[in-house]
Amino acid sequence: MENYELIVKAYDRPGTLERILRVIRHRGGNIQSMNMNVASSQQLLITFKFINSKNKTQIINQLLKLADIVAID
Amino acid sequence: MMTGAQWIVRSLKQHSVKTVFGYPGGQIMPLYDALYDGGLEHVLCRHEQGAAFAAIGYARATGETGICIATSGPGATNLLTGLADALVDSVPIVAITGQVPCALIGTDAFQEVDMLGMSMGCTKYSFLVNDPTSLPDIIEQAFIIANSGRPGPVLIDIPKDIQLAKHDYQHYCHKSIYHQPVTPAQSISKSSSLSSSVLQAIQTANQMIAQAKKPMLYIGGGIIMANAVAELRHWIKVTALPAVSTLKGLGSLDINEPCYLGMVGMHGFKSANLAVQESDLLIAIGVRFDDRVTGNLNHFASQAKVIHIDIDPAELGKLKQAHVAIAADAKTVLPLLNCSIDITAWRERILQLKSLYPARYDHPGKGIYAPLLLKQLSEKILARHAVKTIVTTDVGQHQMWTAQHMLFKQPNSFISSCGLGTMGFGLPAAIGAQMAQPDSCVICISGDGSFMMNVQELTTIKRKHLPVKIVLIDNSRLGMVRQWQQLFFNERYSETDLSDNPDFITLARAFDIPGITISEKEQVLPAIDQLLSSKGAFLLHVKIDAMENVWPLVPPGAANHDMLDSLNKEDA
Repeated sequence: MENYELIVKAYDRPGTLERILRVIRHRGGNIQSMNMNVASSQQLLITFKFINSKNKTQIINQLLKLADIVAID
Repeated sequence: MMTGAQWIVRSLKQHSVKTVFGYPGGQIMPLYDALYDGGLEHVLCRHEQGAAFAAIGYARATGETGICIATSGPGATNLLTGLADALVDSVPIVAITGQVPCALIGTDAFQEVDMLGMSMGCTKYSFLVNDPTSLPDIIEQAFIIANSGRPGPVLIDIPKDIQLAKHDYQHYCHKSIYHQPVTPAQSISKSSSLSSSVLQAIQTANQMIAQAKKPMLYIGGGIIMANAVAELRHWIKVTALPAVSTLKGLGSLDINEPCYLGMVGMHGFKSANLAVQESDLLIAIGVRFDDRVTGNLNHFASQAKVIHIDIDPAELGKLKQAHVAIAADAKTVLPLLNCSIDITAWRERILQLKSLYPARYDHPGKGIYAPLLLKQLSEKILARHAVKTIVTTDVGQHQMWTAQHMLFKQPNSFISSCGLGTMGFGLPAAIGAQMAQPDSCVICISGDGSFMMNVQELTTIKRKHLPVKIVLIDNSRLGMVRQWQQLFFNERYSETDLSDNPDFITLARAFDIPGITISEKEQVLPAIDQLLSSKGAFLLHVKIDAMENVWPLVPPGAANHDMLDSLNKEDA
């Protein structure tokens, strides 16, 4: 279990946030806080802080499979 | 100008779709109106779940995208099990569902359900079309996502008013928020050139292969999805590497290779499991290290270094940490792998294991022994060289016996619900496969529990005059669960007695499908001949002992070398 932060850039489409949250929940991510901004006309910038969460790499890899994701830092 | 529904039909045809599977209803009526004279063949299944499985059967028999269609609400939710099946087994499916008109979404309207939300966990992606201008890009993206990287199911939920809306849809192409490139994880494809890091990893892998004394290939369905069977077989032909297969990988390896050991895992052969456990290098291609394969993961090939090649980067290191992980298309990587190895002693050990633990078909009494029946069926099929044969199965004991005792020479000749283990899969999947390959002999091997789960699809066979052959292995039990109750639940047979099954021959006759029942060994060969020579659909109803078990079996939580091969543990 580890604590970490992910910054997710994603296309602003119906269901984008829900899809991201579903993947995080299913893959064992435990969100402590999140902040979402509209980065541009078509993109969202979402910052997640995780506490006592499962493997960071696994969650990033599973998120990257979503067609909404532009990049994850 | 055309309606949204007409645009959908046009788009499907542009993607070379010829056949779709579905069931009409209120909110999908405009699309069914467009299908009426739209030039696509529609197969009316008698339950939406059947339509989804038929689309999977079609896709797996052809490698093309399977299409299924349902109305909103219950029609749409009935597709979900099929979509989950396609997600785990990486099958490219585009599902189209009707939705209530845009203005009614969120009002709990008649037959309204939140399909976008409900589908997220069982699709690769799902769309709700909430604006006609996005319809063309969404359909385009659906096909791209379904087929890119690791394939999977995509759902498009389309409100009725958008299906009816007349627009110049051509004008909207490439203009919506859905016209975007695919993500990096999906972008790995056959056309991708290998990155320098992947080439470096291949070089390291080749060094490991050269140094290995006891290498073992662990092959999965990814090989077939990647269309890399020829490359794999060539590599094995040159190297004579020992190999095992997952359930979904059956058909990808040449069954005549002396060091091919068949299926590995919970119901794999003892020789296959022991060989993997003894190996010092596991070369895993197109596999997920599924728990049904690995048994206790900590003890799975615990002495071996691991090379893992998969098109889905998320599978690398998900369960088993590989020493070398290669996220790439197997078809591209296989020709670059080392062909120079010297493993004579290891090959001899593999052949020794094979001879020590052969499949056994000596079975006392007059009753039919399912493994022997399936071996004989397999031999009859293989003897008919000119006839391409596709076998589908349901899920349970008959499925494992089929995987163990039938030999599959070609990819896509064995279609089963592998990852999700969905009972009711076999019959509609056979319908899809038969629609895709009308000249092939399609055989559905089912059990009496599974068969009843989508038995309504017998009507689809009748409606389309499909010559699907059905082998129904009937132990009047929910066999696999009964076996586990016997072994692990103190013989408390809770709700697994199905001895009140219907008369299956009478049932089939109600759908104009002839059939015979057999219950003794001596009846088997003539019955198989009758089945295979039948011009139309046929039901071979096979009565077997209710207490027959699938052996070997790795108990839950055990290592693969601790398998049981009889009720008496001392025999194991």
